[in-house]
Amino acid sequence: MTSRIVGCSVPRVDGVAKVKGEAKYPGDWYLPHMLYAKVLWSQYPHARLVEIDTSRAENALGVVRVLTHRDVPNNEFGIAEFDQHVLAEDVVRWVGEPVALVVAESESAAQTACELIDVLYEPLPVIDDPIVAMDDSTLLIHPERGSNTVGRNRVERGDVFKALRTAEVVIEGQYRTPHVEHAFLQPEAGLAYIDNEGRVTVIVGAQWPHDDVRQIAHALGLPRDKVREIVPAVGGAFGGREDISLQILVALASWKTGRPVKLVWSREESIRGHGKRHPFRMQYRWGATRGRIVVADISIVADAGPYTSTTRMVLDAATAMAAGPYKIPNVRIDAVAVYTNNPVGMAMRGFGAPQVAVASEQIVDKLAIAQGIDPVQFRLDNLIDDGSTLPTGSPGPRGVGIKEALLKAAVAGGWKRQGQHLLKPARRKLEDGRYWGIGIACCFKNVGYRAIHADQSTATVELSLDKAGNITNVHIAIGASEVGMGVHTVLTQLAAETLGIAVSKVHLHPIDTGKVPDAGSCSASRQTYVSGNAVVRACREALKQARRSVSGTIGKEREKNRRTTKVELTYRVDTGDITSMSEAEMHFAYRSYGYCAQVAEVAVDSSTGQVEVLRIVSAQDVGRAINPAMIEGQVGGSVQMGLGFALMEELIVSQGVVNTNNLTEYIMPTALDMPELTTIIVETPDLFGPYGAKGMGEMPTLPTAPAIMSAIRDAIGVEVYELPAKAEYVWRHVRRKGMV
Amino acid sequence: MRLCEQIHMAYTLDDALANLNRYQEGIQVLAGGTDLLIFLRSNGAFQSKLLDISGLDHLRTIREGSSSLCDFGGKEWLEIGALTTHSQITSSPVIKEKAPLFWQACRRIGSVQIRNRGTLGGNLVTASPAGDSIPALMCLDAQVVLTSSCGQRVVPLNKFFLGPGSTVRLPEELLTSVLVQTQQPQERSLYLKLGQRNALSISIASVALRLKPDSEHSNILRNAAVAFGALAPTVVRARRIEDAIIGVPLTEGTTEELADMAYSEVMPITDIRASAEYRRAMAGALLKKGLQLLKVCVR
Repeated sequence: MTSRIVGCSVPRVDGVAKVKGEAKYPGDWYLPHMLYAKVLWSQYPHARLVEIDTSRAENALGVVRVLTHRDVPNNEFGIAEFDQHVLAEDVVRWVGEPVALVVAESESAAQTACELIDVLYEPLPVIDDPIVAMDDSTLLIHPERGSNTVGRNRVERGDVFKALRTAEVVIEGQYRTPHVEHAFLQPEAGLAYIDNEGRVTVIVGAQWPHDDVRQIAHALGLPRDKVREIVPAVGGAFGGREDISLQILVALASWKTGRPVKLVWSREESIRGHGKRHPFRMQYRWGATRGRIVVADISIVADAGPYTSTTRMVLDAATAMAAGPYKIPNVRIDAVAVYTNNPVGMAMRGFGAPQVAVASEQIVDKLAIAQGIDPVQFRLDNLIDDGSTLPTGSPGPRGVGIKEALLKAAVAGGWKRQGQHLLKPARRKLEDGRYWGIGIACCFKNVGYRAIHADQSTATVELSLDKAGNITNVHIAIGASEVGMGVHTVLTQLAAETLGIAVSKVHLHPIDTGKVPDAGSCSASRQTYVSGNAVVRACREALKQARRSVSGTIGKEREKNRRTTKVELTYRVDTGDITSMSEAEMHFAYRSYGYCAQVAEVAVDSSTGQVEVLRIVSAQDVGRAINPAMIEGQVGGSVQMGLGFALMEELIVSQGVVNTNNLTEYIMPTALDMPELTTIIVETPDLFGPYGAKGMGEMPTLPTAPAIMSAIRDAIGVEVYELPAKAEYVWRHVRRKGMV
Repeated sequence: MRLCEQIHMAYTLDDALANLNRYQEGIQVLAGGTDLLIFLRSNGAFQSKLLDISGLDHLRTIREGSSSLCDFGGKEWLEIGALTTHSQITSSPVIKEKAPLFWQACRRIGSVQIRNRGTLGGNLVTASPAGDSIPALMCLDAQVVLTSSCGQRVVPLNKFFLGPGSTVRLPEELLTSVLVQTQQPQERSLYLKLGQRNALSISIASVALRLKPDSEHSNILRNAAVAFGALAPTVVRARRIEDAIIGVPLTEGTTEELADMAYSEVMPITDIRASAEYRRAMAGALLKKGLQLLKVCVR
């Protein structure tokens, strides 16, 4: 199919306003008679809340209201279950728990009054080790649950015990990943007011505004149509805006005072107040025989922090991706998530998959080495094909472009063909004395939710037509937040392509839950796939109806001087034939996946342990590239995140207290730390994606860290088991090997 | 957020000095603000008074020549005003030519934005052991000019620091300029910084080297200055290493000995960036690397 718009790097629809500084982000909104709120945070990671005395704060200059748990109609919220308090009650379980909210005439008055609130705590033991938390004798963080276990997944296929005993080579390793901060550019900010229809309206950055409304309405004891959320320009999300942050707090403050209320978190509060990527501890033991992976034995412990959030879904994704995109007949996976008093574990780009990719790709690499096979060849021999059964036993997807992605990455990264074989570039010593090495990794990641979980998006398309029946304008309403990933541009392109009109004729309605239908969350790389389908199908339906009404052959649709056609359509992801699957197969089945392979070149300084990433080659099967320039942008951002995960980023938490609570101490890569980047787009169409497109925002974050780890091993022989591989970590291992 | 109670904008040096004299410890000097504002923000120092000296443009100059302020033994030197920003320093052809070590070190400070705001005087008065301009200045035998209503005194930089955040500057004194020796063409110099990333990075360890090789044998040094940053409560000149390094032919073996000596020359701490053990080892590693990069030892 030839297309004029899909596949073109059209400029972002939100680009000009953002570049010119005209786009308004949540913190940029002001209203007359506006009040300011400030949060009093929990002083302890775990303590009984004995008493809160707000009288001194209430009498302070400029203070309008001091809110505590007593003021919240239904003091509970949570994306998966209502297990968090809007304002702390009885017990605080982490340092990111708001205890009180001061509402005042100015921000500084609110801040000053926070310090006048007297809270009496009775500290409880801090459970900061997930292994300890699992022990039966450990204090329960939620006594009513009877256990500190949030969830547990078990997969058992074939005969793992026998396969491990008979495999030619068995490789094992214990890997650890830290808490990782989203560090989006724009810290949480919100403005709430009562609109002219009496609705509590919240202007805020959010990944799933309709679900926020559900939670706000519940906490405030209001019907959902009394709550409205508007999502303006948003400065990044990466999973960190999927859960509620300050939405209910500002809504409550406005509802109680009747005035607009603004709440802006500082960077320190942002790092304190939202959850993190779950730290994983992983025990991997895999075996191979004659170049084939025969067995994978995997144990995972995830630190969930004290509240459930989306932990069970993260654990599902981690389980589904734990053994990588390989054909493995004997598999055992035991994945547990446990409550602790550390920061809440929540969604973050990759959703459990980046952690397991670190372990699985290292093990695969080492199996290849142990079998004397090139790491690319070994992967090619073991990767899934169209329809291969996945390691969990779930039916494999169609349209699998991972082998092509891997080969293209390898060739662009310097692998040479020698007859039947692939030849890896050899490690060497550079002129400056550093050691050069190369590594490769390939990963897959689900697009959208699990097959058993209804995944849908609703779009409204309204065509305006002239008398001749030509489309003059299209208005689309869909609740897919633009949190920076480019969904509004993608949806605009898809509509323009489907309708055969110019991009400039497509108008997306601003995100306002009072006006746009629910598109589900901006997560799981799903908006292009799910909302894209909703828009394409709604456009097709609208076009059909418009043609009928213009031709005038169908009386039902016919109206005199009819100028518009409006269609609302809900796209539900085709779950496939799940009825024929067993419960276990069904549990970890997703409808679509994306695939990415990367090569990393590094230079390691053996005297300091410093690792410089010189180059990353990323090849990704995106199904169909709707906007190649935006894909390159996503890959660049993903690689930056993966490089940080590999070498620098670590939220240092001791006894539940975050020690790296600002961006001076929480170290992320800067532009000067970015390597040369080569992006290759592979297009193996998805059976159901719009114009064949797959989701692509998360996948390139997965292989970066394992590819860098492999390159470090190649360069200098150091096995990295714990991320981040800071210079000191590498130096210690170099020294242990006697190289310094 | 309100960061202070009162800001006094100084329009003349006399005005600034009079205010310092009047309020003593009760007033803090605001130059570029890259450290002070962060401090005020995190400490909620609402009651503080600030003296904004950023309008004193004549403290923003770079001069070559001689002065009666101090005696550099007849050598050439530069006088750099305390309000000179790091960006001005890094874009100054004079500094690049006459004090390349200092020029190079200033390029490693923070980020473009920080270098645009941050001043040389501020970097010194903040007295961080990790301050990136300091090891280079130490090797250039820099002297600081402290001015008060009563007059001026000149203090060698290596006598200026007392500990982290602490200097010999009296409350009524303002650091007005820095005097540095110019480097000779035959000198070789280098600033090496080990940080957690390539920009916006607080040094884990750093070394400044200023070496003068023999005109015939490049592996014999006739003069040497070595300073370590982030490896002790203040930036330190490594005198024992300097003494040991001069006059002996440098080989891989001797640099190894010097690296061992560096290990015991420093007194680092453990913090969230690195352990004391690693820092100690890095003193020697950076020294060795520096000597290699400057090509003053034979293989």
